[in-house]
Amino acid sequence: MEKTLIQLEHIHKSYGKQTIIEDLSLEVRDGEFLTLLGPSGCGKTTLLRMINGFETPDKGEVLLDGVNQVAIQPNKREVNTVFQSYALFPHLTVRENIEFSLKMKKVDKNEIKERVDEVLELTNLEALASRKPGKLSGGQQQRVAIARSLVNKPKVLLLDEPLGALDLKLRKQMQIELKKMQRRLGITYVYVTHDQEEALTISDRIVVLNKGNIEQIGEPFEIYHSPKTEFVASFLGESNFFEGKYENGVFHYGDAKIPVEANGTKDANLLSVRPEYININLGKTEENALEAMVTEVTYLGQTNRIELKLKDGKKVYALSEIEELEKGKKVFLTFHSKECTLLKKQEQ
Amino acid sequence: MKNIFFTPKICATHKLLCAKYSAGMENIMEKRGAIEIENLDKAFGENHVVNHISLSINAGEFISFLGPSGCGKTTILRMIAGFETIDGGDIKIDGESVIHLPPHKRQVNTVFQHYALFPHLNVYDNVAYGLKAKNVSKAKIKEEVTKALELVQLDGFEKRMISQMSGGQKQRVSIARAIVNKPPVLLLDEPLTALDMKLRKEMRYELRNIQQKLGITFIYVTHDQEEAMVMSDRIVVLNGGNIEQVGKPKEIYQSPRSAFVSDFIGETNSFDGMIYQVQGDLATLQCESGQFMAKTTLFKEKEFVNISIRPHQVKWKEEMQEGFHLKGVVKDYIFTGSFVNAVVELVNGREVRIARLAGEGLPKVGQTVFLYWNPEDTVVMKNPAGDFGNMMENMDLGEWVKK
Repeated sequence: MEKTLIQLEHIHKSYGKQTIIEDLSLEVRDGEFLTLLGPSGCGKTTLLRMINGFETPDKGEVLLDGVNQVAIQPNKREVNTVFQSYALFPHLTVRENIEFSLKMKKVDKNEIKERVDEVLELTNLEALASRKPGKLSGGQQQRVAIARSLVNKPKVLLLDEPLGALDLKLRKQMQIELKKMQRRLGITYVYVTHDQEEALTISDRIVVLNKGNIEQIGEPFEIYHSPKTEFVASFLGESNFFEGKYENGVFHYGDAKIPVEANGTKDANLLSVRPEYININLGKTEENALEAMVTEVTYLGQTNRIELKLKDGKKVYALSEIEELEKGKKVFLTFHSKECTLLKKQEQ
Repeated sequence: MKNIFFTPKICATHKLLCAKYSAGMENIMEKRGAIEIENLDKAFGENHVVNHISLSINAGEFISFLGPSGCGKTTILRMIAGFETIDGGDIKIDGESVIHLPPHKRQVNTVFQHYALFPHLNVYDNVAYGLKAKNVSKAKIKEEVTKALELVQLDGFEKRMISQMSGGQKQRVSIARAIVNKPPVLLLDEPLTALDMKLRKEMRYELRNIQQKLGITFIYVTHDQEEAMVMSDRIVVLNGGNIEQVGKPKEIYQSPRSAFVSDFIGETNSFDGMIYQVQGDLATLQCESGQFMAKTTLFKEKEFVNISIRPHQVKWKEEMQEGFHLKGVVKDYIFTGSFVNAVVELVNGREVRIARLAGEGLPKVGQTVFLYWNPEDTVVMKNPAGDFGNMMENMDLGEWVKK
């Protein structure tokens, strides 16, 4: 059975007249890698700051291991936070940076050494222990920042866009490394990001936030393949949206009848189709195929991104490796009927 | 997989588009904005940040300077803009040396990561600012500002205050402001970095669109390979103040000229190995993890090489394939949206990445698989480690392999 470690219950928060969070409840499981994902202003960082105590809710409760945290000072909570800017002491070595907080707490010398050695090993920093931050790469500095948090043995590690300042290449390496580290440690991670791909790669579960509300909670694969709202479908990855009506296994888009094996709501007026689930056919192989014209081909390396225009002028994006596609070419589109998602259109 | 259709067609239509648009935007279409960089050199103290670089940029080209932090990309941009002095060499715009001109006398404009807009002015006045300072007539200003705002899809936002706009909109205003006085060259210094990832991905296509419509030279600085791949006509890959490679996105991705490029642009699996046998242009190689095949005409038996193969080009089967002996176990799947990355651990503990479009049938975690690939998909490079090949297995080749 999975234990609940953090409970946010009916949280409300506003700044002046602006409501940031309205009646939000969320449970974080013990040992999981949970990501809060959403665009700027969705409330993800505010939620994180309520867990570490830098922010207090106007209404509602924050429980850690069943204990209400609202009255507890940030430095007394059993959580640690890693920020985008590492805030390391430049004049101290890696080891000294990590042991700093333990020394302040007057922990026994032998214990300090033991604990610091342990986190150095966990974060693969043993070889760099005597270096100063200035001699480390951005990724290494971020690892030191994490090691410094872990040495306090927190129940939860909160990470606020910790990779935001890194180069894309390094960032992708660090994502994998962070996930491996978390699995090894078994500590609960609550991670904040606006990068959907990062969230998909790194998380056990993702909480998609929009304007202070939870749009969906689920495992990466589930959220990507079965988005429950238009916002989720469009925020995580690219998607094509068709407005129309669903009836008995068929989605009516204009005159076109698109076969759909139900995934989503039955009273749908919106069909979401991912670019990778559109087949581009050079000939009209199926009666239901949509006629389209290629308007742009962009090389992505692994595949090509094809921009197409339907007869009614609607733009559609697909991924394809077919070599004969070029601007102006007439093609026919079919969709993977099992991978389409039926949705209700949202008011923006 | 030879997608030869791609490049020539794109260029042809690109020119057509520019020509079409030029009818509407008079003046700017006289093929201006060609840049010659000759033997450019710059050091900060002992730190040699730009190392005798030469490069020709065509008028109307979208070119990206791509590389990790500290590769010199921003310094080169700042030298073109005139914000940084040069230690040696020359920069010519349309045939004329500009190195003695102050920034505002050079025919270039710059868009920064931080928009640097006037918060107390509305959109229209922000865009009109430069023209007003030049004493352009009111009617002309209106005409030009309207055109620029249309181009960045902000028509109708003229009266909006900057503080009421989103990050993406602000960046569009700063682009409109930069193009309103029709510079032949626009310099862009990581302009999308401050935006949310979602918006950032959308803006890539939009920027490309704006550049195609304007037909002016865009020089774009980024550390994001995907961004550079999607937008650029050509990419200049920089590393430690040197040019590693210049080429079209596809060229750079498919035929990287150094281990650094192949590793930096997209993901790759690289192996050090010794050529064991050569038959025609097919080589059988031996490495610590097993045996595999690659296509090469440049190397002989007994030579040490480095080969790289892209994750989406690695294939797997349940039984061994001829010429290949790479046995592994599926260890993990990393989900990235459209693609799934499988991590396969080979018998010696080495990990190989395999990318598949999501939705394809995939073997289960823990299953044994045999890896193989089309020998034509490999890139074979000289291994400077020579006889010490095995010793080098654990080193990061990217840092010290040069061309």
